[in-house]
Amino acid sequence: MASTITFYSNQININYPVVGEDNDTQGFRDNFSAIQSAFLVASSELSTIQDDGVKLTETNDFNNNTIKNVVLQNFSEVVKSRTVSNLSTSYAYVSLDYTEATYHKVNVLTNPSGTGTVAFSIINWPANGRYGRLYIDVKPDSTSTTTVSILGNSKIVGYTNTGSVAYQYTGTIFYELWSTDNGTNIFGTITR
Amino acid sequence: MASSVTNISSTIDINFPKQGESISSVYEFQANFKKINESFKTLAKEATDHLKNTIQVSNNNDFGGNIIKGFALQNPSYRINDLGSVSNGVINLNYREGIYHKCTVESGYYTFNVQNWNSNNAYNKIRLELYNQSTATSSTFFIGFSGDVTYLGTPTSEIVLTGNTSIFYDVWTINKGLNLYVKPIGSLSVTSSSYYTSGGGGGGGGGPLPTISSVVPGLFGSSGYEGITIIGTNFVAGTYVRINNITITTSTASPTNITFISSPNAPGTVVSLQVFTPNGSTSTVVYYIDNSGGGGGDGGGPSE
Repeated sequence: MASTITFYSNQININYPVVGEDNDTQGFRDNFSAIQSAFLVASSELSTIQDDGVKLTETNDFNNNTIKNVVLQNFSEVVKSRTVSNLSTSYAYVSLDYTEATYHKVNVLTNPSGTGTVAFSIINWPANGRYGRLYIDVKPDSTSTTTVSILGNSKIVGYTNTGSVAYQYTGTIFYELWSTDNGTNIFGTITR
Repeated sequence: MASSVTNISSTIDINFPKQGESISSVYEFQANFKKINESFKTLAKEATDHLKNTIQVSNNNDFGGNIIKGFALQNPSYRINDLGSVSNGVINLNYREGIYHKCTVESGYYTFNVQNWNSNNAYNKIRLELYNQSTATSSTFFIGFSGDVTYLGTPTSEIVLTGNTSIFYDVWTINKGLNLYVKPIGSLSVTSSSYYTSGGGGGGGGGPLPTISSVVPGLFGSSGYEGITIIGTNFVAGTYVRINNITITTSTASPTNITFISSPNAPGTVVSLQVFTPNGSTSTVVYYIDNSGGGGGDGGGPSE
């Protein structure tokens, strides 16, 4: 987009006042008016740059616009950590917001004397037609069986078309989940 | 970069006209108006540059291959390249179209050829989803990737899928596709698989693998326009040849011979030669060096 400042600045009469003539003072006012209009346009354009320009010193929200043809260097992904407990109910429901982070670390305080279930629901996937991918780093602390479920139409590679997997495992269970249709279908892999 | 507007605007005489003095010349008014006008021109030029080249969160931005670094991603999404239903054979995947590629397939042979990788010394990765559109309980696929491919994980060529389901692959390179790594992510319904045992440096593909035993003459004349014969096996009907990743015209072909006329190349040029069959198989890539003496000769076999 080209600047339109010169549309007004070109209206400044640089030959005013004219030598050897009585000059109407309107010429001054016209020039001052053109100067003011040019400043207004300059201000507006600067505001656009200041409001919409990416800032190196701030978080930038691209509003789902596309950035393309870029080499990424030295970048990271936002992590959200939390601890959930199902000590009293033996069932924990955890909502993970894609827009908050793409790496979710979840420590699970399970029922130490029995089995427990942790059910994850991922909300705010990218829009249909966009590929979104997130990781869940789940760490149950129980030596009893913990069942981890990915709610929704989730399918985990190697786990017979179901998002619910039971573990008897105290180490970290690592999910990579992705969707291309706003979470209507969720695919995933599990590493542990 | 600092603005240069003040270089001009600072010359505006802000003390003109002077109090208590008569104006001796209107030229000083004109001079000031002219400097104001020139300041605006400079300002407009700089504003245009910013408006055109500054990243704006309200627009799509093409970085022209430049680097952005030192940032944390939050709530990203990635463009999908959905090719829809594709036919048996070589399927081209354009890296520029997205990092997630989806193809709807039926039983058969497929070789995927990823094109337009980004820059060298940059890690580029795509995820490929193959969606089986058949509802049959057993659909057999032979999957391969063209190029110099290293398979990680469990490299299977033949896979069997049950019903409408998908299988996923990650494919990446760090040298603009010169060497590829392929990692099968897995399927949601693999009922059986057989391990791909052929291959080596070349890409594995579906169907019988073409082999190259020799290229005659082994060292080509730099002046080109000489008959070259590729001797090997499994050159089925429709087999074609690519040199430096460009398909060339071949004159005759049999299950064991393909001939073509070479093009001129600078002496010492190293080129790659690869044979593709229509069911997707690829041969081992063979490199040979043009004979700097030109005119063709009785060179040895191809060097890899």
